[in-house]
Amino acid sequence: MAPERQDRWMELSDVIVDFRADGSRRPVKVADASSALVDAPFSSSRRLLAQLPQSEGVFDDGGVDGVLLRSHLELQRLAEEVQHGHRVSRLVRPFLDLIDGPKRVVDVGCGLGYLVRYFASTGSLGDDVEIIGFDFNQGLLRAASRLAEIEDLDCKFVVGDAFALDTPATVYLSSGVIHHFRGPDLPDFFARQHAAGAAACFHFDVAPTWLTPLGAWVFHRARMREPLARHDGVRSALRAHSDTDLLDAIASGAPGWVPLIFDATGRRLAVLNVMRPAIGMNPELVEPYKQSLGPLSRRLS
Amino acid sequence: MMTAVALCLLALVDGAFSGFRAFAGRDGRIEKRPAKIEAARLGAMGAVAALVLLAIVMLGGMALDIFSFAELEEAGRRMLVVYATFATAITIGFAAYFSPALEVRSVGTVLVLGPGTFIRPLVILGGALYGAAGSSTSLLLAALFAAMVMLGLETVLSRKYARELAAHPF
Repeated sequence: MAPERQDRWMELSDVIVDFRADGSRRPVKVADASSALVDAPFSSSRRLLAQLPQSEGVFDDGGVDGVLLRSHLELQRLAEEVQHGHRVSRLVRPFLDLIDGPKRVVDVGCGLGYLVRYFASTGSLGDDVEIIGFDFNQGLLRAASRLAEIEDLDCKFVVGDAFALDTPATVYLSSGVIHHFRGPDLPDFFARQHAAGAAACFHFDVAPTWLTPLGAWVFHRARMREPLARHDGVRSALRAHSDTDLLDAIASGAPGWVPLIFDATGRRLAVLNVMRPAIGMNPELVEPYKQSLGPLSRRLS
Repeated sequence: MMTAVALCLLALVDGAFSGFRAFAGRDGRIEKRPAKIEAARLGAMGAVAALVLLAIVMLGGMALDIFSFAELEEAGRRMLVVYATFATAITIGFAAYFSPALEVRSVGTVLVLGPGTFIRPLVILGGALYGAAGSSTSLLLAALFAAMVMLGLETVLSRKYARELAAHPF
Protein backbone atom coordinates (compact mmCIF):
# COMPACT_ATOMS: atom_id res chain seq x y z
CA MET A 1 0.00 0.00 0.00
CA ALA A 2 1.37 3.38 -0.94
CA PRO A 3 1.98 5.90 1.83
CA GLU A 4 -0.60 8.59 1.24
CA ARG A 5 0.83 11.70 2.82
CA GLN A 6 3.19 13.69 0.65
CA ASP A 7 5.10 16.83 1.39
CA ARG A 8 8.21 18.54 0.21
CA TRP A 9 10.46 17.41 3.05
CA MET A 10 9.09 13.89 3.52
CA GLU A 11 11.15 11.68 5.81
CA LEU A 12 12.14 8.25 4.57
CA SER A 13 11.02 6.58 7.81
CA ASP A 14 7.49 7.78 6.97
CA VAL A 15 7.38 5.97 3.66
CA ILE A 16 9.29 2.72 4.14
CA VAL A 17 6.99 1.17 6.75
CA ASP A 18 3.23 0.92 6.92
CA PHE A 19 1.62 -0.27 10.14
CA ARG A 20 -1.95 -1.28 10.84
CA ALA A 21 -3.57 -0.09 14.07
CA ASP A 22 -2.62 -3.35 15.81
CA GLY A 23 1.03 -2.93 14.85
CA SER A 24 1.04 -5.57 12.11
CA ARG A 25 2.70 -4.52 8.88
CA ARG A 26 1.63 -4.14 5.33
CA PRO A 27 4.33 -4.76 2.71
CA VAL A 28 5.62 -1.51 1.19
CA LYS A 29 6.60 -1.43 -2.45
CA VAL A 30 9.71 0.56 -3.25
CA ALA A 31 7.93 2.20 -6.19
CA ASP A 32 5.11 3.40 -3.91
CA ALA A 33 7.55 4.85 -1.41
CA SER A 34 9.43 6.54 -4.20
CA SER A 35 6.25 8.07 -5.60
CA ALA A 36 5.50 9.50 -2.15
CA LEU A 37 8.76 11.41 -2.50
CA VAL A 38 7.79 12.86 -5.84
CA ASP A 39 7.97 16.41 -4.52
CA ALA A 40 11.29 15.94 -2.74
CA PRO A 41 13.62 18.62 -4.07
CA PHE A 42 16.72 16.44 -3.97
CA SER A 43 17.34 13.13 -5.66
CA SER A 44 19.34 12.04 -2.58
CA SER A 45 16.07 10.99 -0.92
CA ARG A 46 15.19 8.62 -3.74
CA ARG A 47 18.79 7.40 -3.98
CA LEU A 48 18.80 6.50 -0.29
CA LEU A 49 15.47 4.77 -0.71
CA ALA A 50 16.94 2.58 -3.42
CA GLN A 51 19.79 1.56 -1.10
CA LEU A 52 17.52 0.28 1.67
CA PRO A 53 17.08 -3.51 2.09
CA GLN A 54 14.55 -4.79 -0.41
CA SER A 55 13.65 -7.86 -2.39
CA GLU A 56 11.70 -8.01 -5.65
CA GLY A 57 10.55 -4.40 -5.36
CA VAL A 58 9.30 -4.68 -1.76
CA PHE A 59 11.13 -3.44 1.34
CA ASP A 60 12.52 -6.25 3.46
CA ASP A 61 10.96 -5.98 6.94
CA GLY A 62 13.93 -7.44 8.80
CA GLY A 63 16.46 -5.32 6.93
CA VAL A 64 14.41 -2.15 7.35
CA ASP A 65 13.99 -2.90 11.06
CA GLY A 66 17.77 -3.17 11.34
CA VAL A 67 18.20 0.25 9.72
CA LEU A 68 15.55 1.77 12.00
CA LEU A 69 17.09 0.18 15.09
CA ARG A 70 20.53 1.58 14.28
CA SER A 71 18.98 4.97 13.51
CA HIS A 72 17.13 5.03 16.83
CA LEU A 73 20.27 4.03 18.72
CA GLU A 74 21.99 7.03 17.15
CA LEU A 75 18.99 9.19 18.03
CA GLN A 76 19.34 8.02 21.62
CA ARG A 77 22.97 9.06 21.54
CA LEU A 78 21.90 12.56 20.47
CA ALA A 79 19.25 12.64 23.19
CA GLU A 80 21.87 11.64 25.76
CA GLU A 81 24.25 14.33 24.56
CA VAL A 82 21.68 17.13 24.81
CA GLN A 83 20.45 15.61 28.09
CA HIS A 84 16.95 15.35 26.77
CA GLY A 85 15.76 13.19 29.65
CA HIS A 86 16.66 15.89 32.13
CA ARG A 87 15.09 18.58 29.92
CA VAL A 88 11.80 16.66 29.90
CA SER A 89 11.72 15.63 33.54
CA ARG A 90 12.43 19.14 34.84
CA LEU A 91 9.23 20.30 33.13
CA VAL A 92 7.02 17.24 33.64
CA ARG A 93 7.93 16.40 37.25
CA PRO A 94 6.61 19.73 38.66
CA PHE A 95 3.30 18.99 36.92
CA LEU A 96 3.05 15.44 38.22
CA ASP A 97 3.78 16.70 41.72
CA LEU A 98 0.45 18.57 41.54
CA ILE A 99 -1.54 15.39 40.98
CA ASP A 100 -2.58 13.25 43.93
CA GLY A 101 -2.45 9.48 43.78
CA PRO A 102 -1.02 7.21 41.10
CA LYS A 103 -0.04 8.81 37.83
CA ARG A 104 0.43 7.44 34.35
CA VAL A 105 2.83 8.95 31.83
CA VAL A 106 2.53 7.79 28.23
CA ASP A 107 5.27 8.38 25.67
CA VAL A 108 3.63 8.47 22.25
CA GLY A 109 5.76 7.12 19.41
CA CYS A 110 8.48 6.15 21.87
CA GLY A 111 10.61 4.22 19.36
CA LEU A 112 13.41 2.59 21.30
CA GLY A 113 11.90 3.95 24.49
CA TYR A 114 14.87 6.03 25.60
CA LEU A 115 12.79 8.51 27.60
CA VAL A 116 10.65 5.81 29.19
CA ARG A 117 13.73 3.85 30.24
CA TYR A 118 15.52 7.02 31.38
CA PHE A 119 12.61 7.91 33.68
CA ALA A 120 12.46 4.36 35.00
CA SER A 121 16.21 4.25 35.55
CA THR A 122 16.60 7.64 37.22
CA GLY A 123 13.24 7.89 38.98
CA SER A 124 13.25 11.50 37.84
CA LEU A 125 9.45 11.70 37.49
CA GLY A 126 8.93 10.83 41.14
CA ASP A 127 7.18 8.02 42.95
CA ASP A 128 3.92 6.34 42.07
CA VAL A 129 4.30 7.04 38.36
CA GLU A 130 3.55 4.34 35.80
CA ILE A 131 5.57 4.88 32.63
CA ILE A 132 4.41 3.37 29.35
CA GLY A 133 5.84 3.68 25.87
CA PHE A 134 3.61 3.28 22.83
CA ASP A 135 4.63 2.75 19.24
CA PHE A 136 3.40 0.90 16.19
CA ASN A 137 6.83 -0.51 15.36
CA GLN A 138 7.02 -3.92 17.01
CA GLY A 139 10.70 -4.34 16.15
CA LEU A 140 11.68 -1.20 18.04
CA LEU A 141 9.44 -2.07 20.97
CA ARG A 142 10.97 -5.55 21.22
CA ALA A 143 14.39 -3.92 21.46
CA ALA A 144 13.07 -1.39 23.99
CA SER A 145 11.58 -4.17 26.14
CA ARG A 146 14.80 -6.17 25.93
CA LEU A 147 16.86 -3.15 26.99
CA ALA A 148 14.51 -2.51 29.92
CA GLU A 149 14.83 -6.17 30.89
CA ILE A 150 18.65 -6.02 30.73
CA GLU A 151 18.66 -3.10 33.15
CA ASP A 152 15.74 -4.42 35.22
CA LEU A 153 13.70 -1.27 34.67
CA ASP A 154 10.11 -0.85 35.82
CA CYS A 155 8.39 0.32 32.64
CA LYS A 156 6.46 -1.22 29.82
CA PHE A 157 6.03 -0.92 26.10
CA VAL A 158 2.82 -1.45 24.19
CA VAL A 159 2.11 -1.81 20.48
CA GLY A 160 -0.92 0.12 19.34
CA ASP A 161 -3.05 3.18 19.89
CA ALA A 162 -1.88 5.27 22.86
CA PHE A 163 -5.18 7.14 23.01
CA ALA A 164 -7.42 4.13 23.59
CA LEU A 165 -6.45 3.21 27.15
CA ASP A 166 -8.76 1.72 29.76
CA THR A 167 -7.11 3.86 32.42
CA PRO A 168 -6.50 7.39 31.11
CA ALA A 169 -3.00 8.79 30.99
CA THR A 170 -2.22 11.69 33.31
CA VAL A 171 0.24 13.09 30.83
CA TYR A 172 1.00 12.34 27.21
CA LEU A 173 4.42 13.27 25.94
CA SER A 174 6.55 12.72 22.88
CA SER A 175 9.90 13.67 21.40
CA GLY A 176 10.42 14.48 17.75
CA VAL A 177 7.00 13.15 16.81
CA ILE A 178 4.64 16.07 16.25
CA HIS A 179 6.24 17.31 13.03
CA HIS A 180 5.02 14.06 11.45
CA PHE A 181 1.44 15.31 11.86
CA ARG A 182 0.56 17.68 9.03
CA GLY A 183 -2.52 19.71 8.23
CA PRO A 184 -5.69 18.62 10.07
CA ASP A 185 -3.85 15.66 11.61
CA LEU A 186 -2.07 18.03 14.03
CA PRO A 187 -5.12 19.47 15.86
CA ASP A 188 -6.66 15.99 15.72
CA PHE A 189 -3.57 14.64 17.50
CA PHE A 190 -4.16 17.02 20.41
CA ALA A 191 -7.93 16.45 20.33
CA ARG A 192 -7.50 12.71 20.84
CA GLN A 193 -5.29 13.19 23.90
CA HIS A 194 -7.70 15.61 25.47
CA ALA A 195 -10.64 13.35 24.69
CA ALA A 196 -8.74 10.44 26.24
CA GLY A 197 -8.86 12.26 29.57
CA ALA A 198 -5.26 13.40 30.03
CA ALA A 199 -4.62 16.37 32.31
CA ALA A 200 -1.78 17.65 30.15
CA CYS A 201 0.51 16.93 27.25
CA PHE A 202 4.15 17.85 26.68
CA HIS A 203 5.30 17.33 23.10
CA PHE A 204 8.94 18.14 22.46
CA ASP A 205 10.15 18.87 18.99
CA VAL A 206 12.87 20.76 17.19
CA ALA A 207 12.51 24.53 17.48
CA PRO A 208 12.47 26.01 13.95
CA THR A 209 14.93 28.88 14.31
CA TRP A 210 17.02 30.34 11.49
CA LEU A 211 19.90 28.21 12.74
CA THR A 212 18.01 24.92 12.96
CA PRO A 213 18.59 23.48 9.46
CA LEU A 214 22.33 24.20 9.54
CA GLY A 215 22.67 22.98 13.12
CA ALA A 216 20.73 19.81 12.34
CA TRP A 217 22.89 19.13 9.30
CA VAL A 218 26.17 19.62 11.20
CA PHE A 219 25.03 17.53 14.16
CA HIS A 220 23.65 14.70 12.11
CA ARG A 221 26.82 14.59 9.98
CA ALA A 222 28.98 14.65 13.09
CA ARG A 223 27.05 12.24 15.27
CA MET A 224 25.20 9.82 13.03
CA ARG A 225 26.42 7.16 10.66
CA GLU A 226 23.21 5.65 9.31
CA PRO A 227 22.33 7.48 6.06
CA LEU A 228 18.59 7.30 6.84
CA ALA A 229 19.16 8.86 10.27
CA ARG A 230 21.20 11.68 8.76
CA HIS A 231 18.61 12.28 6.07
CA ASP A 232 15.57 12.22 8.32
CA GLY A 233 17.26 14.23 11.04
CA VAL A 234 17.74 17.18 8.72
CA ARG A 235 14.27 16.74 7.19
CA SER A 236 12.67 16.77 10.63
CA ALA A 237 14.33 20.11 11.36
CA LEU A 238 12.95 21.48 8.09
CA ARG A 239 9.45 20.17 8.89
CA ALA A 240 9.30 21.39 12.48
CA HIS A 241 6.15 23.33 13.28
CA SER A 242 6.32 26.97 14.32
CA ASP A 243 5.22 28.02 17.80
CA THR A 244 2.13 29.66 16.31
CA ASP A 245 1.10 26.52 14.43
CA LEU A 246 1.45 24.42 17.57
CA LEU A 247 -0.45 26.84 19.79
CA ASP A 248 -3.22 27.13 17.19
CA ALA A 249 -3.41 23.35 16.83
CA ILE A 250 -3.81 22.86 20.59
CA ALA A 251 -6.36 25.67 20.80
CA SER A 252 -8.47 24.31 17.96
CA GLY A 253 -7.99 20.58 18.62
CA ALA A 254 -8.24 20.64 22.40
CA PRO A 255 -10.12 23.82 23.33
CA GLY A 256 -10.44 22.54 26.90
CA TRP A 257 -6.70 22.89 27.35
CA VAL A 258 -4.59 26.02 27.78
CA PRO A 259 -1.91 26.04 25.05
CA LEU A 260 1.63 26.92 26.15
CA ILE A 261 5.13 26.95 24.68
CA PHE A 262 8.30 26.67 26.72
CA ASP A 263 11.21 28.66 25.29
CA ALA A 264 9.25 30.20 22.45
CA THR A 265 11.29 30.80 19.31
CA GLY A 266 12.89 34.23 19.39
CA ARG A 267 12.79 34.60 23.17
CA ARG A 268 16.20 33.02 23.61
CA LEU A 269 19.41 32.59 21.69
CA ALA A 270 18.59 30.39 18.72
CA VAL A 271 21.56 28.18 19.51
CA LEU A 272 20.11 27.22 22.90
CA ASN A 273 16.75 26.13 21.53
CA VAL A 274 17.45 22.49 20.84
CA MET A 275 14.07 20.92 21.57
CA ARG A 276 11.16 22.82 23.07
CA PRO A 277 7.77 21.51 24.12
CA ALA A 278 4.29 22.48 23.08
CA ILE A 279 2.16 22.05 26.18
CA GLY A 280 -1.57 21.60 26.59
CA MET A 281 -2.91 21.73 30.15
CA ASN A 282 -6.17 21.73 32.07
CA PRO A 283 -6.87 25.40 32.91
CA GLU A 284 -7.15 24.95 36.68
CA LEU A 285 -3.66 23.46 36.79
CA VAL A 286 -1.84 26.22 34.90
CA GLU A 287 -1.21 28.59 37.81
CA PRO A 288 -0.27 25.83 40.28
CA TYR A 289 2.06 24.44 37.59
CA LYS A 290 3.78 27.79 37.17
CA GLN A 291 4.32 27.99 40.91
CA SER A 292 5.57 24.41 41.03
CA LEU A 293 7.93 25.12 38.12
CA GLY A 294 9.55 28.05 39.91
CA PRO A 295 11.87 30.38 37.97
CA LEU A 296 11.54 28.25 34.82
CA SER A 297 7.91 29.41 34.55
CA ARG A 298 9.20 32.74 33.19
CA ARG A 299 10.09 30.86 30.02
CA LEU A 300 6.49 29.74 29.43
CA SER A 301 4.38 31.69 27.00
CA MET B 1 61.55 16.75 22.20
CA MET B 2 58.82 18.54 24.15
CA THR B 3 56.98 19.05 20.88
CA ALA B 4 56.95 15.31 20.23
CA VAL B 5 55.75 14.61 23.76
CA ALA B 6 52.97 17.17 23.45
CA LEU B 7 51.85 15.75 20.08
CA CYS B 8 51.86 12.24 21.53
CA LEU B 9 49.70 13.35 24.46
CA LEU B 10 47.23 15.03 22.11
CA ALA B 11 47.16 11.87 19.99
CA LEU B 12 46.37 9.78 23.05
CA VAL B 13 43.49 12.06 24.04
CA ASP B 14 42.23 12.14 20.45
CA GLY B 15 42.41 8.34 20.36
CA ALA B 16 40.35 8.10 23.55
CA PHE B 17 37.69 10.38 22.07
CA SER B 18 37.76 8.35 18.85
CA GLY B 19 37.06 5.21 20.86
CA PHE B 20 34.20 6.89 22.66
CA ARG B 21 32.66 8.18 19.43
CA ALA B 22 32.99 4.79 17.74
CA PHE B 23 31.08 3.23 20.65
CA ALA B 24 28.49 5.99 21.06
CA GLY B 25 25.13 5.36 19.45
CA ARG B 26 25.54 1.58 19.47
CA ASP B 27 24.53 0.67 23.00
CA GLY B 28 20.93 1.36 23.97
CA ARG B 29 21.33 0.93 27.70
CA ILE B 30 20.75 3.93 29.95
CA GLU B 31 23.63 3.26 32.33
CA LYS B 32 26.76 2.38 30.38
CA ARG B 33 29.56 4.36 31.95
CA PRO B 34 31.92 1.35 32.28
CA ALA B 35 31.43 0.55 28.59
CA LYS B 36 32.14 4.19 27.63
CA ILE B 37 35.33 4.16 29.68
CA GLU B 38 36.37 0.86 28.11
CA ALA B 39 35.74 2.34 24.64
CA ALA B 40 37.89 5.36 25.48
CA ARG B 41 40.62 3.07 26.84
CA LEU B 42 40.52 1.02 23.65
CA GLY B 43 40.80 4.21 21.61
CA ALA B 44 43.80 5.35 23.63
CA MET B 45 45.42 1.94 23.15
CA GLY B 46 44.78 2.28 19.43
CA ALA B 47 46.49 5.65 19.53
CA VAL B 48 49.51 4.05 21.22
CA ALA B 49 49.69 1.52 18.41
CA ALA B 50 49.36 4.32 15.86
CA LEU B 51 52.14 6.28 17.57
CA VAL B 52 54.44 3.24 17.52
CA LEU B 53 53.79 2.88 13.80
CA LEU B 54 54.43 6.57 13.21
CA ALA B 55 57.61 6.48 15.33
CA ILE B 56 58.92 3.64 13.17
CA VAL B 57 58.17 5.67 10.03
CA MET B 58 59.80 8.83 11.40
CA LEU B 59 62.84 7.04 12.80
CA GLY B 60 63.15 5.13 9.55
CA GLY B 61 63.01 8.37 7.60
CA MET B 62 65.77 9.86 9.74
CA ALA B 63 67.89 6.70 9.53
CA LEU B 64 67.66 6.80 5.75
CA ASP B 65 68.41 10.56 5.69
CA ILE B 66 65.04 11.29 4.07
CA PHE B 67 64.48 14.02 6.65
CA SER B 68 66.31 15.28 9.71
CA PHE B 69 65.24 15.52 13.34
CA ALA B 70 65.36 19.32 13.06
CA GLU B 71 62.93 19.23 10.13
CA LEU B 72 60.61 16.95 12.06
CA GLU B 73 60.84 19.16 15.14
CA GLU B 74 59.97 22.26 13.13
CA ALA B 75 57.04 20.54 11.37
CA GLY B 76 55.83 19.16 14.69
CA ARG B 77 55.98 22.59 16.30
CA ARG B 78 53.81 24.04 13.55
CA MET B 79 51.37 21.13 13.77
CA LEU B 80 51.18 21.65 17.50
CA VAL B 81 50.01 25.24 17.02
CA VAL B 82 46.99 23.99 15.08
CA TYR B 83 46.21 20.97 17.25
CA ALA B 84 46.72 22.74 20.57
CA THR B 85 44.37 25.55 19.49
CA PHE B 86 41.74 22.99 18.53
CA ALA B 87 42.28 21.04 21.75
CA THR B 88 41.88 24.21 23.79
CA ALA B 89 38.53 24.95 22.16
CA ILE B 90 37.36 21.38 22.77
CA THR B 91 38.52 21.56 26.39
CA ILE B 92 36.44 24.70 26.92
CA GLY B 93 33.42 22.99 25.33
CA PHE B 94 34.00 19.92 27.46
CA ALA B 95 34.23 22.01 30.61
CA ALA B 96 30.92 23.68 29.69
CA TYR B 97 29.37 20.24 29.20
CA PHE B 98 29.97 19.47 32.86
CA SER B 99 28.47 22.71 34.09
CA PRO B 100 25.55 22.32 36.53
CA ALA B 101 23.46 24.67 34.36
CA LEU B 102 21.67 22.90 31.51
CA GLU B 103 21.83 26.00 29.32
CA VAL B 104 25.62 26.24 29.70
CA ARG B 105 25.89 22.55 28.87
CA SER B 106 23.86 23.23 25.72
CA VAL B 107 26.32 25.88 24.64
CA GLY B 108 29.22 23.45 25.09
CA THR B 109 27.46 20.78 23.06
CA VAL B 110 25.89 22.87 20.34
CA LEU B 111 28.65 25.39 19.75
CA VAL B 112 31.79 23.39 20.42
CA LEU B 113 31.58 19.61 20.76
CA GLY B 114 29.26 18.86 17.83
CA PRO B 115 30.88 21.25 15.35
CA GLY B 116 34.29 20.22 16.73
CA THR B 117 33.66 16.62 15.72
CA PHE B 118 32.41 17.84 12.36
CA ILE B 119 35.57 19.78 11.53
CA ARG B 120 38.05 17.39 13.21
CA PRO B 121 39.11 15.67 9.95
CA LEU B 122 39.80 19.07 8.40
CA VAL B 123 41.75 20.19 11.46
CA ILE B 124 43.89 17.03 11.46
CA LEU B 125 44.63 17.24 7.74
CA GLY B 126 45.05 21.02 7.88
CA GLY B 127 47.51 20.73 10.77
CA ALA B 128 49.55 18.17 8.88
CA LEU B 129 49.65 20.33 5.75
CA TYR B 130 50.51 23.47 7.72
CA GLY B 131 53.20 21.61 9.66
CA ALA B 132 54.87 20.27 6.53
CA ALA B 133 54.38 23.43 4.45
CA GLY B 134 57.66 24.45 2.84
CA SER B 135 59.31 21.15 3.77
CA SER B 136 60.38 18.34 1.49
CA THR B 137 57.80 16.22 -0.30
CA SER B 138 58.82 13.21 1.76
CA LEU B 139 58.11 15.08 5.00
CA LEU B 140 54.77 16.26 3.63
CA LEU B 141 53.89 12.66 2.80
CA ALA B 142 54.97 11.54 6.28
CA ALA B 143 52.80 14.23 7.90
CA LEU B 144 49.80 13.27 5.77
CA PHE B 145 50.40 9.62 6.62
CA ALA B 146 50.33 10.51 10.33
CA ALA B 147 47.08 12.40 9.82
CA MET B 148 45.49 9.53 7.93
CA VAL B 149 46.52 7.04 10.62
CA MET B 150 44.84 9.13 13.31
CA LEU B 151 41.72 9.59 11.18
CA GLY B 152 41.67 5.87 10.35
CA LEU B 153 41.70 4.88 14.00
CA GLU B 154 38.07 5.89 14.53
CA THR B 155 37.03 4.07 11.36
CA VAL B 156 38.67 0.86 12.54
CA LEU B 157 37.10 1.10 15.99
CA SER B 158 33.75 2.03 14.50
CA ARG B 159 33.77 -1.15 12.40
CA LYS B 160 34.51 -3.21 15.50
CA TYR B 161 31.51 -1.78 17.37
CA ALA B 162 29.29 -2.09 14.28
CA ARG B 163 30.19 -5.79 14.05
CA GLU B 164 29.40 -6.26 17.73
CA LEU B 165 26.02 -4.59 17.34
CA ALA B 166 25.21 -6.68 14.26
CA ALA B 167 26.12 -9.85 16.15
CA HIS B 168 24.14 -8.93 19.30
CA PRO B 169 21.32 -6.50 18.40
CA PHE B 170 19.57 -6.97 21.77
